Amino acid sequence: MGFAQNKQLLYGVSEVPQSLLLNPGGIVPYEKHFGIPFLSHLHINGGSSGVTVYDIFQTSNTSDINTRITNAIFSMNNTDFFTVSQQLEIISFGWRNKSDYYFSGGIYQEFDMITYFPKDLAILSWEGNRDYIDYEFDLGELNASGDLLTVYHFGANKKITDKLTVGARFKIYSSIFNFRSTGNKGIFVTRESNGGENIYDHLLEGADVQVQTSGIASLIDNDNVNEAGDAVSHVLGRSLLGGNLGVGIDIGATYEINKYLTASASILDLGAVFHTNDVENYRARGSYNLTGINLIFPPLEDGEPSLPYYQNLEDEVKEQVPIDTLYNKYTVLRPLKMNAALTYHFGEGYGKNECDCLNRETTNFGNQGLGVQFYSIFRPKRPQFAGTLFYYRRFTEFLSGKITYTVDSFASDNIGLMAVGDFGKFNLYLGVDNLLRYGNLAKANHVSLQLGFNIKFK
Amino acid sequence: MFKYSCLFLILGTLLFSCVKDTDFDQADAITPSQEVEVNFIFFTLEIDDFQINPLTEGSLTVTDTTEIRFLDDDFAVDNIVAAEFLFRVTNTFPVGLDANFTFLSEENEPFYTINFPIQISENGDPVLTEFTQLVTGEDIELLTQNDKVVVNITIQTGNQSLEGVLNLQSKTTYFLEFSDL
Repeated sequence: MGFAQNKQLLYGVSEVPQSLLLNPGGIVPYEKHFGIPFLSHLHINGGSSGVTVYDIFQTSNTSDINTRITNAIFSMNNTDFFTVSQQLEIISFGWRNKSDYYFSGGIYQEFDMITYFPKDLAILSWEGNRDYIDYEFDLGELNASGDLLTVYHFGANKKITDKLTVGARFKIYSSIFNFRSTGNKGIFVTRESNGGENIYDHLLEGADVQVQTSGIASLIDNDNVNEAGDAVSHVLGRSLLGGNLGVGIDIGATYEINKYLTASASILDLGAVFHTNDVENYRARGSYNLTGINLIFPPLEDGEPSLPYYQNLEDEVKEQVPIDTLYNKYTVLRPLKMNAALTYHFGEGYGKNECDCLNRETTNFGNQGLGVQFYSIFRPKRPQFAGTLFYYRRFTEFLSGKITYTVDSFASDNIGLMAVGDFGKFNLYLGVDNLLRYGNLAKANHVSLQLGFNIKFK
Repeated sequence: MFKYSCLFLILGTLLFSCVKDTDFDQADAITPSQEVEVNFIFFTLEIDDFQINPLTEGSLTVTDTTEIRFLDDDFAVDNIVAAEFLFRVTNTFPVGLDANFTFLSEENEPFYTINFPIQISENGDPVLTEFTQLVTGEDIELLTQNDKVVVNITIQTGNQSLEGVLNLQSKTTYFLEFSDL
């Protein structure tokens, strides 16, 4: 299972400037930083909560792939989902001013998509309705959303007391494209007709299915986009504040309870994107009972055509369940994320200047940390949660690492590892999730990689 | 050495991670096989609907035609491997009837036909006739060349004041295999 954008490895690792994107109120143990453009933060995450590649494509002498797909469809639930997310930081910078505020800002591009598994529709598509007479296929299971956007952000961080550090970040979202189909309703059912017109009633009841898009219609409009170059300039224009805009904030804080304990928390992407241009929405609404073609055998003269039964049937369906193309604006809340952590510090200091990386009261203390983290993200159907145990250790002045064990609703064996190196002013980090699955990635429900390069000045 | 172990472990994991025990060529063998039940034609006839049969003396007949546009679509031609028609007829006419369904191509050429007799009602009580026709193999290729069906009901009487009602309901079960995904 992959919780898109859960960066439990990076959260709280103050040596890495990008940890400020996870908690703007985190500890900042350096004076300024610059990210290497396009290389300062790359995060790729893909996950499937109910099925793995191995489940479907395994080499097996006992079952064929169609049987395995059938088994997968029936073993999954409509709360299972497929998700892909990716972040690429383009620019990143930060500095501490004379008043001890640490300002940071930058630009990053983000793609995030989630599709819930529409189990009923999958069964209907895979097996048909013959064995499902009287079964109500739920159209409401259709639930998907996706975003590609550029985020411009600027934030401030300050240690306001001996124990408390707070921070906030303001964000402008420039949406390149968005689609979503949520809040759908209705059922499709085939019932044996009892005294009705024909053998069955094929009932579409209370259908209300909608797809909202922005930034997509003009891309697929040949008049606007004739060549690949046009598409690139179109996308670039929308990413450079030329598309639909939104605003949001991140807030966070770190509280050093005592010498041993630190608590921190953050709320990210509290905001929305307002889709006002290049919007095209499609909506099908209505109810209908398909009983078949009712012949009435009208007396016809020679050469007179028969009645257009089939056309009439199609027209009736279109009238009862019209599919409208709409251009009304819509607003999409950003997926709100929350992080929280409690860390117990122990161990000795390190290096010539002893430890101050965690801003411990005693410099000769605290090169290790043991703690718990909590993460949640609001998704269209329900919030998703993850809990993490972690162990952090600063080995030397230039090398530290963090190991995490993450549990969520679907997996209980996600072990991740991150290494951070500070070679002079050059900072690099590399983290991977689901180490137990890297021996055979096909068996992983979730894979994630994050890495980056920065220049830091202490 | 332990201090480097994390870094080595991560790099090693990335370098030696792999996908194994899988065969993606199996994707070619993915063949969803749907069985879809769909209503077909229904109607009710009384004696007034029939006309003198110009072809057979002493009988009345009635004819109508409807398009079934999807039947010769590429989707149907490529994926329907069998079809089963079920006709359920309730008759109160005290004489025999015959049902004929002739499927015609876009050029009005007949490629497939279904015929069956309808049972007599001896005393005016409704009598149920159920007839099933399974279409497979080469017949499916013939069936999916058509985009309309001519329905002809013949009643074996010339008496145009005969009392009775005939009700026909029908459905088709399409067996689909999507072998060229």
